[in-house]
Amino acid sequence: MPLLLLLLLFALSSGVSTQDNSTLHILMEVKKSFLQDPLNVLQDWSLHNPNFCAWTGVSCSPTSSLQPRLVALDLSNSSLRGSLSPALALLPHLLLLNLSSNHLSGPIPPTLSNLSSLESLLLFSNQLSGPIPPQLGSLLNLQVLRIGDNFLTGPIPPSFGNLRNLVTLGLASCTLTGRIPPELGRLAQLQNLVLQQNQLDGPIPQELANCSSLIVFTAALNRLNGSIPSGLAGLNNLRTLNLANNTLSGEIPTQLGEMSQLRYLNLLGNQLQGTIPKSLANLTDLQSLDLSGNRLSGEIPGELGSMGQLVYLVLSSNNLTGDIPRGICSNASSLEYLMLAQNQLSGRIPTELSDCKSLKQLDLSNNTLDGFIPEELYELHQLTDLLLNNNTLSGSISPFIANLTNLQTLALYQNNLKGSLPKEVGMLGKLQILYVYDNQLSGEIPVEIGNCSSLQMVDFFGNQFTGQIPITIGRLKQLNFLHLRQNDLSGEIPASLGNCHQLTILDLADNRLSGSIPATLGHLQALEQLMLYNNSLQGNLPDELSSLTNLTRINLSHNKLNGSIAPLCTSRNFLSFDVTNNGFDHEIPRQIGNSPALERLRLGNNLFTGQIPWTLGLLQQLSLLDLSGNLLTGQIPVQLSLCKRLTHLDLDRNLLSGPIPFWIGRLPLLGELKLSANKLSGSLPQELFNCSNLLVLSLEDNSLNGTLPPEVGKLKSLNVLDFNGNQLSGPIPPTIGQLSKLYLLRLSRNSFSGEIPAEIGQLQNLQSVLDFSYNNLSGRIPSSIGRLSKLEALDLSHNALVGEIPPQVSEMSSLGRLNLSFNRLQGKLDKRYARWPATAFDGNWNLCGSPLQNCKDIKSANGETGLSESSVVIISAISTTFAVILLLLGAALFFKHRREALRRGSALDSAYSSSSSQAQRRPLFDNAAAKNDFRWIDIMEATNNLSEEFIIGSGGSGTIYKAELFTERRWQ
Amino acid sequence: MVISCRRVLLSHHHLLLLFLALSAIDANLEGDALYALRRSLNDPENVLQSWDPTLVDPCTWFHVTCDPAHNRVTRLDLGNAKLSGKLVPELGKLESLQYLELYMNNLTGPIPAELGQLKSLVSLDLYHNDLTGSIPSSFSNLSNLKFLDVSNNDLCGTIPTSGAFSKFTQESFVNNSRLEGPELMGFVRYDVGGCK
Repeated sequence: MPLLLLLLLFALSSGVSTQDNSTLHILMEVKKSFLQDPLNVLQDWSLHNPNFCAWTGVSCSPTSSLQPRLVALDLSNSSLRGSLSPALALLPHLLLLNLSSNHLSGPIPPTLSNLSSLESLLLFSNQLSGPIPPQLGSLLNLQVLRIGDNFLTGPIPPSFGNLRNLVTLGLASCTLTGRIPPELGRLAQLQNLVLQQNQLDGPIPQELANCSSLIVFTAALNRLNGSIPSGLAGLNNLRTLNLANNTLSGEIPTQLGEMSQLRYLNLLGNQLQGTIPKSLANLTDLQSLDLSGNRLSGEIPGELGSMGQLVYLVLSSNNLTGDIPRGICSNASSLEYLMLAQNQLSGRIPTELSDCKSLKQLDLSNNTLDGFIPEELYELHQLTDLLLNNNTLSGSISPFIANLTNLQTLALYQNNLKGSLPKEVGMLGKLQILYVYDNQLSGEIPVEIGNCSSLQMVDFFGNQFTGQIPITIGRLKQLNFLHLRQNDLSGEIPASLGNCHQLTILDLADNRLSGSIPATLGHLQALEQLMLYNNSLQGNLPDELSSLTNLTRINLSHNKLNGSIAPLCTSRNFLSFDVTNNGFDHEIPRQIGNSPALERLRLGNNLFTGQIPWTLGLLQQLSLLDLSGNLLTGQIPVQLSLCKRLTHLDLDRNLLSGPIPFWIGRLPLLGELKLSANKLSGSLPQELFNCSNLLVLSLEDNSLNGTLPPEVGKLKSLNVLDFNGNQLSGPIPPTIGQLSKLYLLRLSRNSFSGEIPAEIGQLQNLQSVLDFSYNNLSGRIPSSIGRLSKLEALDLSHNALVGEIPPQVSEMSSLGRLNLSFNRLQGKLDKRYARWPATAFDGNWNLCGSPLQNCKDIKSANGETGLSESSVVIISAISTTFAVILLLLGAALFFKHRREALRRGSALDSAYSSSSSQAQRRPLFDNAAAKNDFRWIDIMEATNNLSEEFIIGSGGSGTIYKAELFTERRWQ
Repeated sequence: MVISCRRVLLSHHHLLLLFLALSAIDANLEGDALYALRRSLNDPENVLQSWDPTLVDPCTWFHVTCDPAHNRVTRLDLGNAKLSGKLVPELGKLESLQYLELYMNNLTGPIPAELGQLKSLVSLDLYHNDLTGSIPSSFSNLSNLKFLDVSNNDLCGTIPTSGAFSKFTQESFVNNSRLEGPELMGFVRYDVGGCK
């Protein structure tokens, strides 16, 4: 309203005609709305230059009244910023309004509907927002309406169905929602309907079949659903139909084959089912057919091969089955792109493909094709891309490959190809990508590969290539990815590789490469990943490697490298660093702490000396630290407590001393803690038991002392608990029964005392081993142990367990190994124990029955009751007094001799050796006051309860036994 | 081989551009098999968080144990881990697997017949899940199997009777209401069709 007032004022105050004057001022008003005009296209738009018909972008038509009429305003592609002025609506004679391809924003003024003469409204490619004004539907003279490529939202106004003269409706690339209005079906003149890349949903309206003039209909990249209306087939003039990337379902209407003018049909990325209609072959003018990414099934109709104009045939990513039709190229002289990948096509590759003389890209990958690659394929001279990967193709790669001189991509990976890589591959000067991994190719890599000067990516992984890496590979200046892992390559890494300056990934792992790492690799300054693991590389790391400052991942594990790793520690970008199983020595460089993103550091099984560097504490992302199997000394540095993301801490087999740090309990993610075979001492820190995510706790073979506190029951996730070979004492806490996920429990070779808690029977998943051997455990074996129904090995030997073996133990059918020897168990063994060797029960002098000696000998004197220590002593004393005196004398002499032998450092085994693999023996009676005294129990043990096998002679007064008592007492 | 063919279905003018993303950095057959399992499972407690398929092998993944000499997977310990979802046939590729411990979860679907390829398998604990279908006949091939517990599932059909199965007792199969036997064990031929 103020604008009108203003105009009125102008009209009254000037002498010029109202019409003229007002148009001038309207245009000035329009100009104001263009806030920025960097190209100065509106420079001549000025009141001082009132002949507006001469202004840039303005066109007038002469009229009878001598007053020019402004009929066209075209300021397209002028980099204008600002908005659409409502004043535009005051130019009633406009036939063309073109402000496309600017940077205009804001809404489309609904008043533009006043421009009743308008024939073309072009506002596309701006930043206009808001809804499309439905009022535009009253512009009945409109022939071209293109307002796409804006930020317009909301629905397509159904009123557009009134635009009966409309020829082109362009609404693509906005964020329009809602359905395609059926009213559009009234647009009988419409030739171009462009709706792609919006968020339109709902079905394609049947009514569109009435747009009989349609030539182009694209609605790709929307959310249209439902089936393709068969009525569309009546659009006789349609040349382009693009419905790609919607969610259309149902079958492809066979009637589409009637659209005789169709040149382009794209239905990719929908959910179409059923078979490909043969009738599509009737589309004789079709140049592009893309049905990929649907759920089409059945066979490919061979008839498609008769489409003489077809350039693109793309049927990839469906569920198509059967053979590739032999006739697919019968008349396909124009076909350049044949894409049948990712289906379930089977059988052989038809030789007739060679009839597709124009073929540039052939993609048959990810099918189940078998047989050979037909030689005829190598006649396709135009091929730039040949993708046959992920099939079960056999045979070899023909030397005729030399014919494919235009080839850029050759992907033959994951097949069963055999034979060698022909040297003719060197003729492929345009080849950029050569992927033959996961085949059974053998022989040497041809030196001619150095002639493929365009090669960028080479992947030969998982073949059987032998011989050396050709020195000529250094000529490949474009090479950025070289993957030769898992072959049989031998010899040295060619120094010429250092010329491949583009290399970012070099993977030569899992071969038999020898020699040292060439210093020239230091020239590969773009290198990010260097994988040389599992070879036989040796020698020091060249200092030149210190130039590799962009390395993110390195793995040199399982070689014979030695010296310092310092040259490798210059990058600050490491994510993983693995040199396990080499002979590296020196100290671990402090610089390893310079890569803040390092997650995995593995230096295990080398000869690193010195202390664990404190700089490891800088590695805040460190999740795995493996320093096992080195010669590291000193304490575990407290700075490691800063590595809060640690999940694996493996310091096994070093010379580390000091206590187990309490702060380990503050590593919330710790899952595996392995500190075994060190010199760690002190007691177990309480904090350790806060590691509720701990799965593996291996502390064996240290010098830990103190008790195992009840809090061990808090380690609820634990699978493996191993304290073997320490000096832990006190009872085994009953809370150990709470570790319900344990499959391995070893508390052996400590000084645990007291009874085995009955709660042990709760460890229902105990499987690999339960080993409490070599402790001072007393009391009876809890019958609950029989509930360990998955246990494979049970070792309670070398304790002081008493009583009968609970019958439940005999029922443990899962056991493959049992050792209860050298306790004070008694009674008659159940028949079911006969399956075990005697060594499983040896050294329990009151046990009898198979596999030990018959109970009769003892029974005759002892009646039906089990043998007790005292009764045997008494009975034996009565019956064989003389024999025993002899025995004692003999044993004393023998023992004296043995004692001397021990002092000389030799350790002899007992006459009957336990089956257990442990070579060491510990004294049977640690707590015996007089270690040099012989007790009945010892003698009875030593003679297996006076078993017959130890008789060395007999006389009228008794039997003489030979006994050897146990060695390796601690005499100190 | 992790082959992630991320071809975006845009238009065929871009057909070949994106397949290069599949660069085969590291082969990790066993890791891939386990990762297939991870993808198939719901893991509300994130017990599979450490399963990073880009590693050379899965030996540092939690709940996975390898033979240290050859870096082959020997144990999978995922008992009582609140996992749901289905087992995957890829597990059959773990040639050295001896212990498959998946007890007390909420696993559903069938037991893949491919588990019958696990020649080294010593122990198979699938008890207390919601597994359905039959015990694959291929399990008779598991000559090293000493421990089997598929109790407390919803399995059906008959129990294989040959091979290692001749020694398993009723306890291995109890509480599968639709499972025939074990009183029929040794008398009824294995019948795949008897289980719907």
